[in-house]
Amino acid sequence: MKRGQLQIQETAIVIFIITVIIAIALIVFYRYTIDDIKDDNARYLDIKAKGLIEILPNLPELKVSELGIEADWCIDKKKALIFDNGFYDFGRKRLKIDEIVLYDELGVGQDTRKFSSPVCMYDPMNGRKTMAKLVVEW
Amino acid sequence: MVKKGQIEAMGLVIILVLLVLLGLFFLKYSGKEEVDSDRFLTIRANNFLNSLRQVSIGVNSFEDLALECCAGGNCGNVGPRVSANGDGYLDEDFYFELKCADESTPVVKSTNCASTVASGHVVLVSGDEMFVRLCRDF
Repeated sequence: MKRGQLQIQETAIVIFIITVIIAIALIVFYRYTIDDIKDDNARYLDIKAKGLIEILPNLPELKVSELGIEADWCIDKKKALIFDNGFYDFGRKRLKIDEIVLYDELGVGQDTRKFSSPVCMYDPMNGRKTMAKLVVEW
Repeated sequence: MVKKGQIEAMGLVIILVLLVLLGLFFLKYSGKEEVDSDRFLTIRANNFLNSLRQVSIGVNSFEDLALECCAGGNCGNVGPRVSANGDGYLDEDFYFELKCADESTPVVKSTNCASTVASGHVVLVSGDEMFVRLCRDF
């Protein structure tokens, strides 16, 4: 074999090896990016679900009001019992305050995550305010 | 045959790839979750405190009990009420403090956890304050 042919072979081998390394790096990067996007999506769903512990107690449809004017920072038990969950689309979640189910689009037999927060519950029947547990499952 | 210069170039490429991968892993675990987690713990702490102050105790509320305590009345019921509600409705251990306008702290529910997230301070009509700190999970 001539010297020129040898040099061409060397160059071909080097290009081949570098191409293989770049291909491996691209595959690793692609998989990493896909996993990262999945993680970001899961984190986004977590933030969206957990954020409901701040949003729900402040919904006018649930909050205690007097003559239409928002009063205390408390959830009205009667309003919770007749909460029209068709108006809001919370996505694939289950929302409960103690035993009162506000919204349930979770389905059964799936792995779920849960986050809860204490809230104030006002019972207009006896005028008492008690602590209740708002549970968000997703 | 691979020349010395080519081997060095390949070494550099490998080092570069490793550095990029290390940088990506660093970015991935650079404390995003801690910020999210703290944010929701703060909301939970605020919800707990806002609920606690309104909870009915006989014909009064917890807030009335705290005001009476700071006015030199009976403080014996405040601590047990805080513990009962906190243990029942919070998932984590917590610290509670009632600080009267005269700078005395007649009710303190302490905790041993190393790291906490604080609620906002609730200032009562008399200038007395109360706040909670929730323990971080880690």
